[in-house]
Amino acid sequence: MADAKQILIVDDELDAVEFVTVVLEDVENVTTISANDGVSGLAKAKEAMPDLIILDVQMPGRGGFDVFADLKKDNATKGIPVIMLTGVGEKAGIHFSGKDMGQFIGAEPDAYIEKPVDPAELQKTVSGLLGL
Amino acid sequence: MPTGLTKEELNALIEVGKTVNAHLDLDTVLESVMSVTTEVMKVEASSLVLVDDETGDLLFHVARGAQAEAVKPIRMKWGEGVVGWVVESGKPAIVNDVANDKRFYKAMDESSGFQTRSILCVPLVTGDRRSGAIEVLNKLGGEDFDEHDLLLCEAVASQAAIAVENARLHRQMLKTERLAAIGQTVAGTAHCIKNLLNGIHGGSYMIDRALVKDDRALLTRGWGMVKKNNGFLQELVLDMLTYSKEREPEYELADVNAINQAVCELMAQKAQDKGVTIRWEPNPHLSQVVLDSKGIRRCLLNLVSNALDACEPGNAGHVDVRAEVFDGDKFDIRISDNGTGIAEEDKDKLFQVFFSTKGSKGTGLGLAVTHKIIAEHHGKISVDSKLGEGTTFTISLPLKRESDFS
Repeated sequence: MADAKQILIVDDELDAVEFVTVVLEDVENVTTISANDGVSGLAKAKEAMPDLIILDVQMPGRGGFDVFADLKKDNATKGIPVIMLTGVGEKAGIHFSGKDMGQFIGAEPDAYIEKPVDPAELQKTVSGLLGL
Repeated sequence: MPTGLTKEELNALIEVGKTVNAHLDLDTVLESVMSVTTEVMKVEASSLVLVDDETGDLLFHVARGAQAEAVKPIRMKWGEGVVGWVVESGKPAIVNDVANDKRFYKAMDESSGFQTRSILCVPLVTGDRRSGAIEVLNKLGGEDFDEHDLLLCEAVASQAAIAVENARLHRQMLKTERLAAIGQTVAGTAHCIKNLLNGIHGGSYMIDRALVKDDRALLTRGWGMVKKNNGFLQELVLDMLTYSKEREPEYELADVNAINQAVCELMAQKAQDKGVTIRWEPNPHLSQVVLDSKGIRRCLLNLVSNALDACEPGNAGHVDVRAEVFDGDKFDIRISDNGTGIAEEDKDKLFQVFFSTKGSKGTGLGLAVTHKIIAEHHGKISVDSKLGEGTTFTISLPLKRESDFS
């Protein structure tokens, strides 16, 4: 696939990585790579320069927001769109507002998707961000 | 007219007061109080009865003198026997001729083989709450109980009532704290549950896709994911229930070696998947011990699982489980690993509810539940760890043999 888009999935839950990978198999012209913690996720992003990153918020060691902040500080990676996967969110009455994120990190993720992941929502969001 | 207390009796009351103030463990306090009471009141037998929180029955919490062990399993109702009358009415009773008192419960003597002649019984009262009674039987030398004896016994009972009330309030406070901890950090648990639901949801999605594509490999992976996360969800709910409930250990005769072996066998697959060796050694002195085997098994499962999680794949990791006896009256079970170790700043928080070093893999309840079960056994758990070198958790438990219960 000459023009296939590459998506990096960063999540310490192996089941979550497998689930998202299977969901994205049904999106045309995408391939996936993955990392299981924040440190290797950041390293892989800088090495592979994916077209999109799906990033879990809660991970041991460097969490998702720390990795997101580092991606945005680096000129090479700051333009890569990021979807944050979150286990707590609006359904629990907790909202990550743009103002809060901008205040702390200076940029806002392109989308938040709450677990348990809705496959159709994820596919639509990915397709939209990649212009597919 | 009752005469004043003697020096011996005053000293006994001072000792009772000191004991009540020095200890929070109710059993220790009440045993000590009744030991002093029996001696200073010069009686053949004595007992301390408490109202059971759940059933309201009167239970013989302490019994001293001849046939004491036969009395302990007996349960009385309010109003039944002299002791039941005292608890129900809230008034003391002096009965110097039990054969001619309607309140006397003959069945107790019939089952225990003791021959009661006289009874002095006083209620344990704090404010409006009646928590039990102290009963003394058969003054030595065949004398009758009198007002002086009543004065002395009431003085002891007022101290014992304070101890019982303190213990009840302490239990209630612990329960409230535990429930508050769970309530306050529901968001923390919600995250853990969401990951598990994500696993079940993901597995179900994979099964759906597999059926459409007729992909057996995908079907197998999907079903595996559903089963695994369903199992974790059950464990989490069980941990939450265990943590929130008051419980007494269910003591039974058990083989510590068999428990260690069963836990290691259960964890064998996880160990193999990570390339970690589990080793355990039997100890011949721990094959007949009285403990709550389900509770201890749960603790060991938590600790061995954590030890395996700490070992990184491909690093020749090993987890060792050993048990040792000390001084004949306690024993240790040690779970050691050569994994990542625990940071110094995390050690103090380890047993806090919903604290985890495992990110989303940890529920944060495993060690809190383990700590609670060990505390219920009147045991201790400690940790020794160095970052990068490994960790040893040590459970120390009182060594109870079957003979301690006969």
